[in-house]
Amino acid sequence: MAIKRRLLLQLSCIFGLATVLPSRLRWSSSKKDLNALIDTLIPNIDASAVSEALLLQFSTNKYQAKIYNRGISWLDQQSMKKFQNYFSLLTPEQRTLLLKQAENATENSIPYELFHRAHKDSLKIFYGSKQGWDFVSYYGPPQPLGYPGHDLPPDASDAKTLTLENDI
Amino acid sequence: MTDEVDVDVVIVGAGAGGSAAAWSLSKSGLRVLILESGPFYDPSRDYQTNTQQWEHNSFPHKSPGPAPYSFAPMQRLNPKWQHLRSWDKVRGLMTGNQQRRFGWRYHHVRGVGGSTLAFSGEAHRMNPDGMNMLSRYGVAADWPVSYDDLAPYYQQAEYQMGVSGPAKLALSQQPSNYLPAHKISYATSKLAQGCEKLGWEWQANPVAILSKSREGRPACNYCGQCNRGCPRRDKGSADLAFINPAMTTGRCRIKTGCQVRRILTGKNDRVRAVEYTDESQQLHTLKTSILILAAGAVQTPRLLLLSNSSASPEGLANESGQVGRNFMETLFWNSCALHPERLDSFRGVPSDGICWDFSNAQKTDDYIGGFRLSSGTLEAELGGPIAYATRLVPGWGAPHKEMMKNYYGHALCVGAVGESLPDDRSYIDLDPEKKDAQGDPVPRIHSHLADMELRRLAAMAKRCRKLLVAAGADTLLEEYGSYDVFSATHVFGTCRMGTDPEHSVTNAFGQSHRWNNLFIADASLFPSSGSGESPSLTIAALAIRQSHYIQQLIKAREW
Repeated sequence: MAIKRRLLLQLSCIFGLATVLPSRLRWSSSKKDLNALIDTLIPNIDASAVSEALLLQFSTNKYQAKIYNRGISWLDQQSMKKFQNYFSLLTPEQRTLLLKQAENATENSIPYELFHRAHKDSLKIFYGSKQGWDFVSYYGPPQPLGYPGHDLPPDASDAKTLTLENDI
Repeated sequence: MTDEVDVDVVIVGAGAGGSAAAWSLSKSGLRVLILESGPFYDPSRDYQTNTQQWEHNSFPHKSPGPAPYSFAPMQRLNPKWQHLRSWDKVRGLMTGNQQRRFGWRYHHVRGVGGSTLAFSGEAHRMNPDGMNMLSRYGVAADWPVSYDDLAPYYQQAEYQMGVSGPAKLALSQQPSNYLPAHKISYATSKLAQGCEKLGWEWQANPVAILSKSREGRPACNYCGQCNRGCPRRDKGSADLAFINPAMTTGRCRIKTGCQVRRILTGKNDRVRAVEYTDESQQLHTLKTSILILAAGAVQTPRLLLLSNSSASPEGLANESGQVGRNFMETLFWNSCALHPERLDSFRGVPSDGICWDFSNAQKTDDYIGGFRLSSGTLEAELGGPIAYATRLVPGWGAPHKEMMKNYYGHALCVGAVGESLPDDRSYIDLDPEKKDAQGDPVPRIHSHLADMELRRLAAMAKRCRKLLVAAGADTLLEEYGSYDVFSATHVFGTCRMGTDPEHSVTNAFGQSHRWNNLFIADASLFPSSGSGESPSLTIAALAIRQSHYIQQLIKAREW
C-alpha cells in the first residue's frame, strides 16, 4: 500500500512537472539572453529578478511570450551575423548597438515589437520593485504609513520617519 | 415582477447628489430606497495602495465597471492651436498624428459613493459672480438659486464631508466652518513662493479630507493617492459622508446592481414607477410617489430620453427640448516641469494649494469666464517611479537610469480648470448603434470646443507655465489638456434648472417643470459650470436643499 502511494506520488510529480516544464524549458535556453536584454535596457541591476517576473507574465500571456521568443531569436541571429557570438556573450557596447537597431526597426516588425515591449515591461517591473525604489530613494508604498513629513524638505532629518499623532 | 416596497422616495444613483438627498430625507423621517447600478466598495479591502504593486493599478473598478457610453466624432484639430497639443518627453505627442480631437474618457465610478470614491476631495463653493453668466455676459444661463440661498446647505454638506480648509471662504471672504487647513506639501510650497513672486494669491485648497480625526475616522496621512480610493476613510466620499449616516437612521435602503431602464408615467403629470433590471437581469417595476434622478450629467439625460412615451414623445421632462443639451465638460490644462531641488513631490494632499486670482467670472479681450490654478503633480499621477520612467524620462540604458536618479521626486506640476460654456455642438444623445448589456442605447457624448474655449485654454496654459518658472522649475516634461483630448470628470448642464420652462428642464429645486414628483439631483442641473470650482460640494448642497423642499411639500400635503 505504501509503495503504491509512493508510486502515485512519483507519477503525479512527473505529470505535474510535465505541465510546468514546457514554458520553463522554452526559456531555459534563452534565460541568459533575456537577462542580457534587460541588463542592456537597465544596466547594472539584478536583471534575473526582472526576468523571473517576466517569465511569470509569460505563463499567463502567450502573446507576450511569443513576441519575446521571436525577438530574442532575431537578436541571436543578428549577433551571430555581426559578432559571431550569442547575444548574451556580447559586450555591453555590442548589445547596445543591436538594441538601437531594434529600436529603430520598421514599426510592427519583430525587432521593433521586442524592443518597445521589453523596454516598457522592464521599466515597469524594475521601478515597481524594491530594488528600483531603493535606486531612486523612494520610500513607498503610499500606505499604510503615508508621508506625515510631507511639508518638510526631503533631506530634513525627520521627513521620512515622522508618524501621525493620534492615529487610529 | 412588481416590487412591493413601502418607501416614500426612490433615488436613482448613489453619487454625491443621490447620497446627500438620501441622508437628508432619511434624517427627516422619510423612507428612502436607492437603486444603484454599481456595487459597494469596502475601503480597507478594495483600495490597495499598501502593496508593492500599487502603481500598476489605477482606481480598482469593480464589476460591472464604469457605465458604457460612446463618443461622436470629434472636431478637427487646427494648427493654430498646435501649442496646446498634449505631449510628454517619452511619447512625444500623446495622440500622435491624429488630425481630430481624441475622445479618451469620461471618468466616473459606478458604485455607492459614485465618482467621489476616486475624487481628490476638492470641496468648492460656487463663485457667486459665476452664477449669473447670462445676465452679465450673455452666455450660458443664470442660476435660479443664489449663492446666499445655497449657503446654509453648503455648511451642512461641508460638515458631513469633513472639509478642511482656510479660515475664510475663498471667494466671499466670510469666515469658514472648516476643520483646520492641511499643511501644504513641500513641493506645493514652491508654487506658493512662485505665486508670491508674481503677486498672485496662493492658499490652502478646501478639501473633504480630515485634517483631524473625527467620529471614528482618522486624519489624513498624506499618501497622495486619493484617486485610487482612500483605504483609511479620512476622505469624505459620499458613501462615508452621507450613505453611512443615512443607513443608521434605519430608513434608508440601497439595492446595488440595479440598472434603471425606464421611468413610467401616470395620470396628472406624475411619474408612477421605474423599471429596472437586477443583478440577475430580472426586470422589476417599482412604484414610487417621489423619484429623484441622480445618475450624473451623462446617464440622467440618457434615462430621460429612453423614457419617451406618447405623453412625452421627445423624452421624459423634455418639454423644453433641453434634455441632453448644454453639455459642459472639464476644460483643463496641466503643465509639469523639473525642479532643480528634490521635492519628493509624491507626498501630500493631491490638490492642496489653489490660486483663485483668475477665477472671477470675467470678460477679457479674448474670452469670457475664468479659471483656477492648483497644485497638479499628484493629480497628474506622478507619484511613483513607474510614471517617471514611462512618461518623463526618455531613452534607455545607462543614460535613462542616470536621469531617473536625478529626476525622481523633482516633478512639479500646475493644473488649471476653467469655465466651460454651453455650445450647440456639445450635447448628449442616444447612440443609434451601440447598446448596453440590456440592449438599450448608450449615451453618446458630442463635444466641441469653440474658439473662445481654446483662447481661455491658451490663457490657462500660459499661467501654468509662468507659475512653474516663478517656482524655480526649469524644464517642461509633460503637458496635456482639453484641446486634443476629451478627458473629463466634471460634466454638467444636460438637464439645466431655471425659472423659464421654455428654456430649462427643472425649477430651482431640481423639480421637473411638468412632472411634479420627478426631481433631479446631480450636475446636470448646473446652468453654468463655474470657473474651476469642483462640483461635488455644490451637487450635495443642491440635493440637501431639494430634500428640504420635498419635506415642505409633503408637510403642506401637496403630495
